[in-house]
Amino acid sequence: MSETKISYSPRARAWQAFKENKLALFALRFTGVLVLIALLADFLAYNKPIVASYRGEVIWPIFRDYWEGLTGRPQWSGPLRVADWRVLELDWAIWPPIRYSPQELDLRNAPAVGPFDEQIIRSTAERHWLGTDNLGHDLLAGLIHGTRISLSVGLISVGISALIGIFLGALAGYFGDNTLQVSRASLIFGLPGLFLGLYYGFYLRRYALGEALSEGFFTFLGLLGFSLPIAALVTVLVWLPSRLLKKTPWGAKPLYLWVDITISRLIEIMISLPTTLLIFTIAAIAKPSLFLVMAVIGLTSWTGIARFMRGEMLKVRQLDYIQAARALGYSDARIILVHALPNAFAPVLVSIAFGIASAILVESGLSFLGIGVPPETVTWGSLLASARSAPGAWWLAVFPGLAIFVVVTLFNILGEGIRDAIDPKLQQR
Amino acid sequence: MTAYLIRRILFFIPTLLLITLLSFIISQSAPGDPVEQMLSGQQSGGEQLAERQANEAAYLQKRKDLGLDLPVFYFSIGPLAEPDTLYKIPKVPVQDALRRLVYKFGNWEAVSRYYQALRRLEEAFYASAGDSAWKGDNRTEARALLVLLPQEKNYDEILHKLGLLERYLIPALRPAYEEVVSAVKALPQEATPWKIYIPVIHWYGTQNQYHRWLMGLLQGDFGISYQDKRPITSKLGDAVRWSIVINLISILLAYLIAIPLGVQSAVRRGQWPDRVISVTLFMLYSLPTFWVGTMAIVFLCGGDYLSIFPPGGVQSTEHSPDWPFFKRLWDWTYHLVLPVLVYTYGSLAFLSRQMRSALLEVLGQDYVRTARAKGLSQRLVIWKHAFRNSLIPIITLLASVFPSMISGSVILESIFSIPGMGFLSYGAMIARDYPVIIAVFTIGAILTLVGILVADILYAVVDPRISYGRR
Repeated sequence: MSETKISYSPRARAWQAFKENKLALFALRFTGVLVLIALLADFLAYNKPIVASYRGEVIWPIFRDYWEGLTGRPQWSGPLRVADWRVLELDWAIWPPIRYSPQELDLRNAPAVGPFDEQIIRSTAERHWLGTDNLGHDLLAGLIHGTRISLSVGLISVGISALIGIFLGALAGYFGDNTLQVSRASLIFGLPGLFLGLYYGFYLRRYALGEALSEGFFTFLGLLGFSLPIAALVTVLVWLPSRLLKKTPWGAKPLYLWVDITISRLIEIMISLPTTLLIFTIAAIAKPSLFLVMAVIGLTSWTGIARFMRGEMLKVRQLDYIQAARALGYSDARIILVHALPNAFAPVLVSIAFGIASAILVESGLSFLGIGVPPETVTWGSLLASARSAPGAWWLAVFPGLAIFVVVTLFNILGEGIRDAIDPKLQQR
Repeated sequence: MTAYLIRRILFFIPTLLLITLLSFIISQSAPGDPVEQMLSGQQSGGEQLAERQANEAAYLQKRKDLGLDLPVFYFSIGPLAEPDTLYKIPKVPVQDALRRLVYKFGNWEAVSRYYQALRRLEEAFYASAGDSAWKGDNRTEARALLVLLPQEKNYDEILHKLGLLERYLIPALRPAYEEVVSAVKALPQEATPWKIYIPVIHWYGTQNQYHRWLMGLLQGDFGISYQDKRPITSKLGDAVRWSIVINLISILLAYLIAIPLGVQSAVRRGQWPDRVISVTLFMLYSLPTFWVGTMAIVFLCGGDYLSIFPPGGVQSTEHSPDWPFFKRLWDWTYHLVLPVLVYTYGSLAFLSRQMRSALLEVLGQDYVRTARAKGLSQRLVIWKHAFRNSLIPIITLLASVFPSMISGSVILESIFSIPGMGFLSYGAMIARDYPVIIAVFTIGAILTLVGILVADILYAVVDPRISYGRR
């Protein structure tokens, strides 16, 4: 055995253990590759070259399309606007490896041409390596761009559920039922304040917020950026007079907030919902939107993370160093954020990995059925669904499903790997 | 323990109410007008005034029958500017548009005046059907605008549409039109925005849509399907049978296979059988069922490849009740083998992985070591001492396997065209038959809730170690 520096910090030890797990390490690297594919999807499969010289002029078509998408100003004029770049007479060009966009229809290879079938193409570079579907979409291009959708669904929805889960779980675990106290006066003014804050911040603005939600993530975030301060400001304004009432002995009487019981009940109720069915139902009723799918998955799957976080917090808050931090007079927020959370985070990572796997699974299930996701969006699920309308096309049944399977397995392996790495029982072997 | 059970059941009731509330909220946000959905195909064009009035009467009657003329909930919260009788206005999009105008200008009287003026213009328009002053397509154009106007939420858009309308109208309709325009112009002038900022709570009592829906639900009435106008309960009745049969067989199979597998795997921990079982189960666990299902259909069910199994459905087309019992049973079995296999493997993998870790946990306990130290045989130690206790968490998993099967059946039943609840729900999702979607969700949620309750009770009955006294 080689002499390695022995580190005693739990995090370093867990990382060490994780690195020894070859499979998990491989899964981590593979995930990195997938992230790269997702980020560079346009440079891997696109129907225009990355850079080309046309009539002596050097053009960067993909970047131009980006610029057009960003500014909304049309960048193409004349024949280039509608041209099929593959037949254009270019002086020279550097193409993406796949010369098709996922939404593009290749009508000459239309009703489902297989990877080994004869394809009507001009050169080998234009081959549909994994075949086409009934309408002539290139399968490989769809898979490459689908990576982007699957990973972002996984990351964003789990990001949402992690935020909610960590927040609620940490509150419940750290405060319990007999730590957080408020004066009677604060409660008397604070509750109506909260009601009014929610009324002005969210209820009156519900139409605008709802429309923004189906429009896109950033529009929604922008409006939320208005709603939250309004709600907070109103709440504080109404609460302020309580400072006066607090001076009386009646108003100063401290009351305990049942943080843990409330949050635990909430978790119990969420658990007793059939989450997948709920997601299907909402997706079927609302206007199709990818962000809505992510939001709904995120909003319904935070319970696991919250439970883990709560359990860890219960453990952590008993530890000496937290007591020491309290004795030093640090604020609760500082103790939770700086001292307790980092140590309670590891088990949550396990939930996050599994959560990404199941979010990807749910999304591909939805787009397999054709609900919730806009019909023009090409996803792994929708590609797999196209196998149902092209019975002889084995490639449509095999490859998209394989992609889903591989990604789900990767995240499951990652989850197991992290779990094994942080489990002290396993480390003692 | 009795006290625990009672408390557990008491918790069941508010949760159930919350779930019905959630279903109701989701159903409320369904787009479109339920009354129009119900009347679809029954209404005539409505070019003439008389025809139109008949249509409207039919609409109002249907709305009353469905209870949609009632307030939505026991109470409502809204700005002072919003009247507590807004729900009485027929057509949900119109209601919505008026509410938004109130939210913008804070003056219900002015908004109401605009609405009344618009109604008078409509009436005058339909009364003028025979007027020879109409030229070309003008009437059609005007009609299209008049249909859209009451549903328009955006003030500028209203002005724009009114401007367009002016070009098409005949002189006879001029006064009515001017009235609408002046009412619209008055909106910003008479705006009382302060009324928006005062929240008011209105109490409506039990005469409301939710109460009516809940009472129906308790009597097993889920409303009427948009598609074929049949009561949903009878539609679901046929479907539920297939779902339950398939799910029960699969759960049973999964448990029967998973438990011995998990035990073997735990007992031979680290040896090759454990490795093989673990890896296989891990792969199975990550295999999306809809992929396996699609592959099975494409490769095994008579497409261009093998044709070992039938291409879906639960019985062959010539199947008849006159067949001898065993022939029918064989027919069903032949059709269900593949779906049941696909149904089973997912929960099988999950269950045996759980079984393995539960048994491993128990095998590490002191009393197992004691049993071994006493010189008991390996067989006795495992089956008599360890196995029983490791079963407890597996039993409670029933609570999570069951609901996932219900939602899983939406995908699987649609792949294999099994006429069960999931297939029905999928059909409803495609056809936008909202009452059916909501009914399936509500039933699924109630079944889940009952599953969890049963698992909790089983847990309490099986495991004497756990005390359920007050903490």
